[in-house]
Amino acid sequence: MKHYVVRPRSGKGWLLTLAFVVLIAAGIWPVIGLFNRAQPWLGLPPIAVWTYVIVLGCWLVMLIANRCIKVASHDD
Amino acid sequence: MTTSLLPLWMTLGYIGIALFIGLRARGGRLMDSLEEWGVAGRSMGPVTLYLLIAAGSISAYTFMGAPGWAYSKGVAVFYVVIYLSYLALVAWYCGPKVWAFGQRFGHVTQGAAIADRYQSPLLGGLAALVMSIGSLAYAVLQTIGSAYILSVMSGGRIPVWVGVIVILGVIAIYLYVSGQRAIGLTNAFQGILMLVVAWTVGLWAAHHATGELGFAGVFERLANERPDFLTLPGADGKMSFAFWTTSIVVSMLSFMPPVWSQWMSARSAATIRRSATWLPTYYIVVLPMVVVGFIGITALPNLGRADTVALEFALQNLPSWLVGLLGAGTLAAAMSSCEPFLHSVSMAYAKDIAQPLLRLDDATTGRLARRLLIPVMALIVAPVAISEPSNLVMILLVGLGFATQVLPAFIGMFLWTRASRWGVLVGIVSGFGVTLAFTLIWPNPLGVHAGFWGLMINLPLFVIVSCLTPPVRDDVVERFFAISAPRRHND
Repeated sequence: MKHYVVRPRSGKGWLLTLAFVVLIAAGIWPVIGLFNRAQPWLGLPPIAVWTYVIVLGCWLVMLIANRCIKVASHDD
Repeated sequence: MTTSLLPLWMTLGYIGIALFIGLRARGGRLMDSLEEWGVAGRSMGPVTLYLLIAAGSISAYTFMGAPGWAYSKGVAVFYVVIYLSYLALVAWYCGPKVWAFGQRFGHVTQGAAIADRYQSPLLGGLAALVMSIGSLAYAVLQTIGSAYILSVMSGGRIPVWVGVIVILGVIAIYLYVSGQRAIGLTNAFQGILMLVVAWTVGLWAAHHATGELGFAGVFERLANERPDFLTLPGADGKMSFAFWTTSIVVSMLSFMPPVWSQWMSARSAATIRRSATWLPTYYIVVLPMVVVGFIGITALPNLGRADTVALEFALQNLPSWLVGLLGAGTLAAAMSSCEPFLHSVSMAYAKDIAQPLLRLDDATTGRLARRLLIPVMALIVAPVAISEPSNLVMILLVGLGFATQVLPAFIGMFLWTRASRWGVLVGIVSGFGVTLAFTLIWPNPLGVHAGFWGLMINLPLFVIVSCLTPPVRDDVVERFFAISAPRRHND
């Protein structure tokens, strides 16, 4: 057989992959360095606020992805 | 400090309720097959699965370790919330595929899936065996945490060894009787309890410390008095950006066996996606407990053990009913994480090691898995927990380091058709060796997580050796990738 690496097969698939990559990049260096300040924002340390922005982002991206992806035949 | 027996009775009451729910979960079903006892007949709905995975991932660490990290290091503790959210992304992508593998090919364990993909019972058994080291160490730590809570709540009347026997005895009864169904329902109860307890305790503690019903006063005071707790590398200077980043990457790539079984217990692939989607929302449970740790920095400046900060603060400042609620919540967190690991180890020993070695049929293997639970608890977990070994955390770190090194096996299931048996084996062994050396001999060189160093050796070797050795049979690869890449397969 011809071997391959699995990759997205549609524009929506690529967008979803990009969203996952952006979310992961948001939680690690260098992005996390932008929030490394002591003065509280919204009553919390900036890193804590950013952490929960990422939590919210993960939830929203998966919520949107569930609506976008074409459900494969093995679902349900 | 409270001397009331109310906290003890509340904690014991929680144990009684968990036992009742666990026993009722069986619902008259026969539990001697791995399909039932192991993966609950692949029947769990989205809400149960959401609470099962969420409560399973929130261990005693959230109620003891996380406040302790906040108390001793500061905001470094939030890396846990980030990687747990990323694990939800991993569950969203991989979970439905794992469920489909299990449903079509009859897998009930992670080792069985590895053995099937690479046509190597040896590789499946080896992965199961070494994964069990980390799993058992994790279960032992949670058991010690549970026994410690009972001891504190009883004012020292219940010694740790009695606590270990009580906790393991209760878990053994309902796990033996109801298997994965007991884990599902007790975790659902424990998950709701933890959420209520964490927010009640966190808000009450903040109000007690600042007079406000919010957390702003806590952090404004710290920003003025101890700003080093609010930035990386933290108050002890150990969480550099490199360690933060590599810890998150390594943790999100650890496919622990109980999670695999949880995915396989879902009613459908779509159920897993729905549960994974909402999973990050549960991690708001961490915030209030972490705030208690931050309050402790100024309220309890001379604490001997950082991980007792939440309990100590509660004992000294909160009403006894709230102390009891915290005891029950902490115990729920420890038990909800302990039981899936005990269950998965019993299944792995029976299905991935004993069955191929002794050529057992499926019915005998199912009965054996259930019966192995008792010796695993009585002969391994209980004695080790009672002896409270000082190097247990080290065993756990090595075990979890290994969990990440199994990554090539999963790349070959989800992403790359050419992955070969030898490529995976060489990758795992080399990665594990590096992780072991960089955990025990030269811990985390250059501030980079030992498991990350392991992956940097593991992954290139996996690719090179896979390209140089024969691939797995075409028909096997095709049936796996009909699930992992259905569009490509249908083109």
